[in-house]
Amino acid sequence: MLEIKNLHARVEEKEILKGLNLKINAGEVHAIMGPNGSGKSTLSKVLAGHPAYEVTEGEVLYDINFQMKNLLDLAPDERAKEGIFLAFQYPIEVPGVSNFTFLHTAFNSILQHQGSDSMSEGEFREFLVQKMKLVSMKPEYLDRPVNTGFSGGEKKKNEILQMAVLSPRLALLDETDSGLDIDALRVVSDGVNKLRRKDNAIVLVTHYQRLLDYIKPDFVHVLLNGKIVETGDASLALKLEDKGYDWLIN
Amino acid sequence: MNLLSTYDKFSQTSPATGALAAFRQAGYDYALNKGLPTRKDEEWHYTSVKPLTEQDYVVALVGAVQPSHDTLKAMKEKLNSDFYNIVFFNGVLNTTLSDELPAGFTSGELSQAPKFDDTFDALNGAYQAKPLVLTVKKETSVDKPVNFVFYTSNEGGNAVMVNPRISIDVGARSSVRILESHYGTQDASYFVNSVLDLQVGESASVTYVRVQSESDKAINIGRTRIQVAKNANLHSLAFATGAALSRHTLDVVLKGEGSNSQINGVYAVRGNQHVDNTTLIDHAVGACNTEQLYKGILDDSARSAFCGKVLIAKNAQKANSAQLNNNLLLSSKAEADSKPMLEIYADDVKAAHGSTVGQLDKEELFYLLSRAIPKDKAISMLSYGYVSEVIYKLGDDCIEKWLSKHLDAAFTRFHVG
Repeated sequence: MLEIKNLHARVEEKEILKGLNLKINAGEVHAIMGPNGSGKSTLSKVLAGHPAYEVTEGEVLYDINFQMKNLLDLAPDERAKEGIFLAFQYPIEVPGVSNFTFLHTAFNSILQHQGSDSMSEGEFREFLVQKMKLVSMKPEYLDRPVNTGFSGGEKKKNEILQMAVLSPRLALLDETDSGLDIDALRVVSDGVNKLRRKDNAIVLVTHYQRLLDYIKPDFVHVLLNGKIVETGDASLALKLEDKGYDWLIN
Repeated sequence: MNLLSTYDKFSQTSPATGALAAFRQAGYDYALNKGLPTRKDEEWHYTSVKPLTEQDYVVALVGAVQPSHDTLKAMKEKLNSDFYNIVFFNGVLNTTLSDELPAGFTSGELSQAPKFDDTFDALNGAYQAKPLVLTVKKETSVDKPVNFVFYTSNEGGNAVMVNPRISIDVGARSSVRILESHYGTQDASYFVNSVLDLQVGESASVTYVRVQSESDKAINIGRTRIQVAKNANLHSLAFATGAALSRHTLDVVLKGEGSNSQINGVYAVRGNQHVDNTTLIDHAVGACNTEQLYKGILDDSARSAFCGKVLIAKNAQKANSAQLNNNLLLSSKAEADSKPMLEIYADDVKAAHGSTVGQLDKEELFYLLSRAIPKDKAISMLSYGYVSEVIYKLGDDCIEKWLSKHLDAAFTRFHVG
């Protein structure tokens, strides 16, 4: 589904990704771990198309209608229409736009892209209420401005709600576990697990092994200094928890 | 001044005697003597009215031109069944389209002294055929907003000039919502020079919304003077999305203690539009609260000016005033000038003011894009959110819905992306 080849990227003048390779197939869950500053968040931002990150070398191939296309040629909204979804580490507050309008507009742009009819406000509201149960969100959050005044936990739930609504083929979850207490972590992880399907893939970017107790990955990668230096199964995460990253540095 | 060149013809067609004749003559003399303001005048530093001299505007004579079928249709579209609609075509009351004034309103004769405080006020005075002078009886509560709809067109072929003048005296403990809305035939050139005087009686509660949604080629110069009595509540909103050149001068004078006023504005302009809001909030007495928020969006090469003066008189202790002007620029060629001014002569007051000019937040924009929302739509949603906050401060569903429609219409014409 996604193949990253020799990816180099920088933000401002600083090179962060320095030749990253990664292949992801449908139905897989990958965890990307690594210390602060190793490039984890940069990778997810680059894939989503954040304008502050510049790709200087390499390519990212993504399956669109059974053809591998260069993802980097697409604008951020086009990537999202093709099923790329980034759950933000720090979800953005948008004070002037209601959560409902935001989700409804996003959902209908995807429908439109797929050549389907738009969903009316009434139908969409019913559809949303069902999806909100998945992350135990109260309906009143729909009519509040996007993320504005939400607690850290509610913001993260709102990201997973968006994921549930937009039903992406490739979801990148950037430190979705950060700032969550254990109950919220369980709710969010349950939500993600329910969204696992054979035809989609999930990438978990995380510092900590504890998220992987709830969402079992098929692969664990270690990102160090802008490159993936080690790949293994779920046991690699436990080893990292135990030994840290030092043993990989040399 | 060429704007006075049709005065003789106007006087012959609409002869006046007594107070009205004196009023007109005083207006004529004042305007002739003072002339049009220039950018050297402090109050007009950011706005040039030179376009008024580049075309001949002919005063719309009573009954000279009837609205065409298409114009009538367009006028009807501006009416709203949630309101009492009082409709004017080229400045003249259209009795067919207008509703009766609601109970509690009475109409009278001009009693204003023939005194003017600027050229446009005087010019308006010179061309008065039948000024609307209304009184709202005390303790009147009107169920629906009263909308004064001004529709202007060029049916006769000439660029017309219209001079609406309304005076409303709202009695004590009454509650009314007054809307003043300006529209015109698309692409028509014309000049609207409006004056509205509003007296908010003791403990009365008044909402006043002025909508300026004129044709792209129109010039709209508007004046609103509001006097607020003891313990009254005022919510004023100046909303402007139309016209090539527009200026709204608003004076709010607080004449009795204990009043609360919200004095807000929204503007959204594009192309080469120029919009000016010049406001004076005069705390003539103490213990009044005023809160002012003007928010604007500018696209393309549009320009805006906000000059907001807050005056707190020497004896106006315990005055409380907050003023803010925020501007959002969607294009590098757009320009917003903002000049908040505080003049305080009392010592025990609270007064804050500020202004900002900025761009859309890039992270907010990326967030919407990352959710498959196309860029033009995302910019429009964020911009809409930026100004709609001001509309929702009204806390009045039926007016908010009506204004949202105006804002939607303005946004579909933005060249964002």
